[in-house]
Amino acid sequence: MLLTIPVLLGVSLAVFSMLHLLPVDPVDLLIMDSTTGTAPTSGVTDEMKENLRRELGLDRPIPVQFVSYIWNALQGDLGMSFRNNQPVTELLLDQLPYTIRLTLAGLATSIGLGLVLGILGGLRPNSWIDNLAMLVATFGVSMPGFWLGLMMIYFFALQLKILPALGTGSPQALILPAIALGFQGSAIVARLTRSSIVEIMRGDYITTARAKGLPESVVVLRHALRNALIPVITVVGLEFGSLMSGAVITETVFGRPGIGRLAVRGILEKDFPLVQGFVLFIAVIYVVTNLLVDLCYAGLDRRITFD
Amino acid sequence: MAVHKRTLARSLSLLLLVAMLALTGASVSLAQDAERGGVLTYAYLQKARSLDPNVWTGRSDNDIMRQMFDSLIYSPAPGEYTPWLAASWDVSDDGLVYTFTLRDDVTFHDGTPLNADAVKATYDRMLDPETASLQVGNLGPYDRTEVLGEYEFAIHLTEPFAPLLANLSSTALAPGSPAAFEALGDDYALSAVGTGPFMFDRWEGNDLYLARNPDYNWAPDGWNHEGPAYLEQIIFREVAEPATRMVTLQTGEANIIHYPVLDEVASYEEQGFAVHRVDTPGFAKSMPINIQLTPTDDLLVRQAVLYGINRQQVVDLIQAGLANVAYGPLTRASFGYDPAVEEMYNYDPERAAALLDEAGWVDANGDGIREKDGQNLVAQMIIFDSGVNKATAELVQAMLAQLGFEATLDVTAYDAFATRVTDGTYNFAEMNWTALDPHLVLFNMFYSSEVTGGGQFNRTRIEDPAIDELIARGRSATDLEERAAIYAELQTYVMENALILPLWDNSWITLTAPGVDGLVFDLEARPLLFNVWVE
Repeated sequence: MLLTIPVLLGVSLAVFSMLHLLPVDPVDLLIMDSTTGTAPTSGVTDEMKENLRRELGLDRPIPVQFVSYIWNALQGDLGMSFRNNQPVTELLLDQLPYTIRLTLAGLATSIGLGLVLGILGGLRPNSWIDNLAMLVATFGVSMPGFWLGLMMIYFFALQLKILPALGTGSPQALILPAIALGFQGSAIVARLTRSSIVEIMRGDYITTARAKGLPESVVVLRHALRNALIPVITVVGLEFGSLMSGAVITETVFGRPGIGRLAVRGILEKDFPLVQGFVLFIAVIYVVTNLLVDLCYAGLDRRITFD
Repeated sequence: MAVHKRTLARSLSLLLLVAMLALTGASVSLAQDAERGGVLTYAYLQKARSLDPNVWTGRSDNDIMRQMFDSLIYSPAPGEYTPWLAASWDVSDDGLVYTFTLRDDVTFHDGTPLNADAVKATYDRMLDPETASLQVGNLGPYDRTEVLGEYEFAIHLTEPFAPLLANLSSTALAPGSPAAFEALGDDYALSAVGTGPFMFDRWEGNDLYLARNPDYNWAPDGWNHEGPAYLEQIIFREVAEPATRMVTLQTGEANIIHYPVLDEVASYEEQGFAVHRVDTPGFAKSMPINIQLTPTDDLLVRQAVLYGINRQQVVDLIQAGLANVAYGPLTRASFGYDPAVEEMYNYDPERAAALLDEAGWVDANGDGIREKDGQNLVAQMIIFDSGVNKATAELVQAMLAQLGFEATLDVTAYDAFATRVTDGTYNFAEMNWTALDPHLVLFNMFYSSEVTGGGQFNRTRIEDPAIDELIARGRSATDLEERAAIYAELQTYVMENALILPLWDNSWITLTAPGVDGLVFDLEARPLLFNVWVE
């Protein structure tokens, strides 16, 4: 668990140096008009640029900038955004609820759809249900989320007019973004659940449970599924992190607010502190969910303990 | 007599009829005014970074600021100015003092009265280095603002600055509420307070809500009505993905969009959506030609390029025909545009070939590429990947190849592009710039001091005393005719020397759904939503 600290340090160092390796003065990028990619509509003097540079702390040596960044980050201060004139922590926290809502909805889609497809397939291996379920799963894995998103907007919003194209404003507005985000994950969950179930159903204790005269539903849901869930939970835990970063694309396609959309703008506008803050934040999410997954194992399987 | 009587009766009844018609007409228009209103939902490129026009410059953000802020003067046509917040003004003969008298009935959205002190506070704040205003250049050689009375003030300059009136008519120098500067501090940027027809209401996520300013009664002449705006509310919803933006118009989730997918505009028009196109003033979308690097250091080669590139085809293929071909550095909508440039280089591939032959570039070995002294005729093109830049450059590259160039193209991010510009290792770069007054763009593109500096804008890399002198004269000439004549001379000079390859006049495309009426734009193609109502 102590490994998390060097991991996080490494991530922030990598991001920090990448942005500083750009060949161009960030102050020039800062005053560029981000909508048209051209110069601002007024004369900007060198003196103004120097003032900006000093104000943003960009005149200090890079190692000094890094150390002060880490020191502040430990206290929850990720610096000021270049572009928004607001602290990065505040920006991220402002947008976080939208992303969490979307991520949870996406996760629910992944798990719900994945488990149903996986159990159906796993109970009757190589039947037509199994083949169909795995076809859907393969389809899901192969499809990029932004494409699925645009296609769903085309069919459900434009042609059928039953769901809104934009991802905010009403409860049903969350449906399309959640599917676009969670579908790929559901395919992974489905394949994993299926192979797990297939293996477990051959186990002796399943035969025993059946021999005791338990109804098939109890056998599957209480005995088989519980054990089949262990690998699934690992994936779902990792999935949470990747869904959160996957929100980057989904939020942009559906015009939803969130930290992903914030990060996209940060990248396009070379907003150093914002991008650093976002990447660090996602890294923390990954590390924390991994930790939680480890703890979940113990809850599900008493044979796993932590020393 | 009887005849006379009948005529009288007839004329009386006619009069009555006219009166009745006039009355119904009046009541109809009154009823219309009362009914006009509605909510406008704008599918917007991106969440505004700032709503403070005195500080921030972004194009899409300024379109929002235009609804919230009024300027001292209004510009109905290039070089023409009419009263807005200022009822009258006077420029001293030496061009150094601009004296303004404000209207006495204007208040900011927070109730603060607009007076001379407020204008002074706005400009003082811009000059304060703490404010880090990117718009301060609009004030030019500014010395100070002197308050002469409750509603009277004078702007003092240290030297004549002809662009000042144009700049005063833009959002950059629009007065903001001094009370709000104090009260809101850093929050002012995202909840700015002006005198405009719409005022900040709230943010919901990335969506901005503006409400009608019920007290508004100072619209400039030329807007379609007096009193407050028709619309009750404007919602700017951030929809960054262009394809989704287009769809929101169809699903009714938005009734106005900008930055459309150009290829789809024609089909939307057929489906009954209105397409609004405004050609903007400023520097045309062009490729500056580096005159310091071979082979474009040769005038004949540059002229050959201008004759040999089929610009109409570029516009048709890249801009879906939704723009005018450009022939000079300034667009047609700019002050001082001189149509003389339109006759200078019409598409003539044979002439282009003859010019290249004359310059000594001939394809002797038959490989399709011209050579001279054993060297191929190379053309290094650089472009940054944004919007239609890449497609445009690729098309021009193909056209150059047809002329016998060995044309290379580097498409990179802006950073790498700017480095190449700094190093001067290119023959063709990129430039376009929307600006109300021509001075700043011409200065940046052609003045000798702008050849160096890092990602600089004099990408032609020309240092020419004749050009410098014309630019300096254009900056200080306050007589409009004299100023236009100077710019006409400059445009001809630039094109005679084939310093740039102009491609098209920048145009601004907005789409609205049926039911949105009254939409007009100002000279910078900023929508004037005051005039709009939704049925």
